[in-house]
Order: sequence, then structure tokens, then C-alpha cells
Amino acid sequence: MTTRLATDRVVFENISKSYRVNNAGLKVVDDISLTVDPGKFVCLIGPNGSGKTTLLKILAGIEKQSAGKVTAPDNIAYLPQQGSLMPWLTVRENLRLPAKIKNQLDNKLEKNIDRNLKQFGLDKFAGFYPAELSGGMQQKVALIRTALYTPDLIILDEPFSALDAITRLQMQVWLVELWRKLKCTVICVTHDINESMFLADEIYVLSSRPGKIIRQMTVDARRPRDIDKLSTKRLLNAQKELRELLVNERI
Amino acid sequence: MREFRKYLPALFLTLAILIGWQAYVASGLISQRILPSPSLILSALFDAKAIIADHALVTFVEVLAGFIISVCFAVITATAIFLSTPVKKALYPLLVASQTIPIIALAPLLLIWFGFGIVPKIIVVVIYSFFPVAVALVDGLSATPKNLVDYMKSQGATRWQILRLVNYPAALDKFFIGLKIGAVYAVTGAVVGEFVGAYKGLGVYLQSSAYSYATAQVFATILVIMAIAFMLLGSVFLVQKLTMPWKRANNA
Repeated sequence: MTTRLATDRVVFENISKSYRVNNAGLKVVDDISLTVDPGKFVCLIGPNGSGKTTLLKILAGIEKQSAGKVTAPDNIAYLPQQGSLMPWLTVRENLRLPAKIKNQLDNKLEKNIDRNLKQFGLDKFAGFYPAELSGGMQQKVALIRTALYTPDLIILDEPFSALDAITRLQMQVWLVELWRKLKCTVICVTHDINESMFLADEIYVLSSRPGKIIRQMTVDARRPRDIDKLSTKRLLNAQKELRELLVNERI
Repeated sequence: MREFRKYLPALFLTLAILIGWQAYVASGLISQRILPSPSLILSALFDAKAIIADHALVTFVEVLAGFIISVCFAVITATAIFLSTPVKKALYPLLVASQTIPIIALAPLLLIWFGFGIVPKIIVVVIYSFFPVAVALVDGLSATPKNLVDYMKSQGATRWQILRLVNYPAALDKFFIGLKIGAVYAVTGAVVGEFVGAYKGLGVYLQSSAYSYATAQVFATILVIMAIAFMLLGSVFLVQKLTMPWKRANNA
């Protein structure tokens, strides 16, 4: 069971998860323990089927672990892999949704929505449906929604995997700005080594199924980061090591 | 204008068939008693407009009442099947098996139980149109994108909030497909119900016209039945457009 506490720390203690497939147990996550300090940006990286998404779902309270304990802050925002905007709601209605669920719609929220949309250049799109926006704009709206409710923890599942290379880079910069403004913890799953190096304070590498942590790496680069700051010999070696780990796991 | 242009090929084809039909009958190769010309059908419709309208009103009420009741039942049943696995296991096979019963064979029984009035016809309409609507809605609800449900769960939404804010809107597309099929079935159901035994209705008028070899009148009645089906279908299309504005946006 995920314990939602008034703490900013995220703690996984001996988390395992199995599914029943054709009357047999399929273990996807095996005895994972990790602690994320408040305000840290953590990336989980690993091959397909390593249980990254399952870990995030357990953290978000969507799935229950088979064994172990999770401690997480109370106020979290989760962005699933395939997007979280309701196609039948306009941008404004989508931004209102978390408040609607909690029955907390008020004028203050509306003003906040207006201010945020203006700040991020989306004020003309308030009445648009998600399908009328580009992929980048859709993710921006989803992240604005996240920021609007000032979460203590943001959980992102491959947030930019569907975007083109340029938009992806822009969104990464934007996400880091958002994270620094909100001063919250971020746990992000990605497949992209460069992305994880650009975003994360800490990187956890998961093995192929069942997922175990096979490497923990601290990205020791000053922020704001750019290609030069990530091209030191030490960090290039770290990237090489990550690549080799992932290639070996994939094989 | 673009919307109208979409239907132009179908309109031209209909017009061509009507002209060909009129020319074929006018050539004298076939008797007007066997195949009346389109102009004769129109004049039969015009001549009997008062009596046809009288019968059409009864059929229309049966169709509308039956269809509305059927949709209400279908929404309740589909929701129960979607929300509860035991209900699904108990009800879904019965629902599918019920479709093997020839409904036309049930109509005489309904006549015995409920008489010649409007009630047995409404029941036949309900039975006819219930299945496509219920099955389409169950399909639609079950096909809700998992990521959207996951998002709602992460926000602490209740089961009913997820149903209302995600499952129902996500199921609308398939639900309307079911409604369109159900609407057409509803009209068939009403006419079939009237065939078996009724005082009034287009089914009764159609049958009596056929017995007296008033072929033009039979065609005229079929035209009115088609008009009722088109009206119902058109209303479903209209409601779909109004309730799904994001689809219009997608097509823009």
C-alpha cells in the first residue's frame, strides 16, 4: 500500500510486483529500494519490460505492490505515458479537472488558469480541444495543469517520447524551469540517456524483467545545463557506461 | 455547402434510379399494378395523406416511446455489466442468447398477454432496439483509454467520477453507432408488431393495402416508414453533433 504522508520524501522499501498471467506468476519488479530526497529530480531508465511504468503506477497509487512499502507525499501529479488530457474537454476544462474531482472549483482557480495560460503563451487556446493542439502544446497543457496545483511530487512516464527532436529539447528546458519554480520532487521515466543526463540529479538504471536497480548514478553537472556542461570527460564516460548497461540488459 | 456536396453522388444515383424506373414503367413493359411508377406512388401518397398521417402518428408514437425506453434500459444494463463482473458473467451470455429468439415469433405471445393496443408494439420496439445499443455501450465503456482512468485514479477520483467524467464520454462514439442501428431497428420493430395484430399503424395500413393489391399505396406507406426512420436517424445524428463538439473540432 502506498502511504501518503505529509512528508516530501519518496521511499520505496523492498518493492516487488507480480502479475498473474495464464495462471502463472509473472514478476515485473523485484525487491526495489530507493529513497528520493525532497526537491530532487530523479530519472528511471531501463529496457522495455523492466517495470518502470509499474513502479510509477505503484507510487501514484494506481496499482498495489505485491510486497514492500512505499512512502510518498500527499499532493502528487501523475502524467501517464499516453497523455492525460481528456479529448472531450477543452484546454480550460482540462486544467480545471483536478479541482472538479476534489470539488474545489472557484474564482481564484479561474484567475490562476488565465495567468498560467497567458504566461505560457496558450491564452488563445483556452477553448481548444487537445486534438486541435500540437503534441508539444498538449504536453505543455498537461504540465501547466500539474504546476497549477503545486504538487510536492511530479511523476512523469516518458513525457516527451512522442515529440519531435526540437520540441523535445524545448520541452526539457521548460520542464527544468517548471521544476525549479515549483521546488518539488520529480520522478521521471525515460528511455533516452541524453534526456536523463540533462534532467536528472540522480539516475537509477533498472535491469530487464524482473526489474532490479543495477546502477545508481549522480549527475554532477551545474544547472542550468547545456551540451557543454554535459560534455566533460567524466559525464561523457557516465553516458557511455549507461549506454553499455542498457545494451547489455537489452541483449 | 461542403456537407451538402458530400451527399451529391448519392442524390444523383437516386435521381438516376427514379428516372430509369419511371421510364421503364412508362414504356409499358410492366404493369403499374406490379410496379407502380414513382409519380403514381407520389400521387397515391398525396391522395391518402390524411389516412396515412393518421396511421403514421400511431407508428411514430410506438417507435419513439419504444426507442426511448429501450435506450434507458440499455444504458442501465450496459453500466451494470461494465461495473460488475458477476453481473457481466450472468447477464451478457443471456443478452447474446436472447438475439437467437425470432422476435416476430414473440409478437403473437405479446398479443395474447397485452392485447391489440399500443403496449405490445412498444415492447417489440424495445426488444428490437435494445441489443445494439446495450452491446455498443458495453464495448465503448470497456474501451476507455487506460491512461485516462489512471490519471483520474492518481487524482483520487471516485468510481462514479471516473464513470461520469471518463468512461461515459469515452464510450459516446460507440454508443451513437449503437443508437443509429437501434433507431432503424425500432421502426422495423413497430411495423412488425403491427403486422401481427393492431387496430392502427403503418403496418396495418401496409398489410391491408397489400391484400387489396393497392401496390402504389404499399410503396407510399414504405416511403412514410422510411421517412420516420430517417427522422429518428437524423435526430440521433443531431444529438451526436451537439453532445460531441470535440469530434467536430477534430474534423475541422
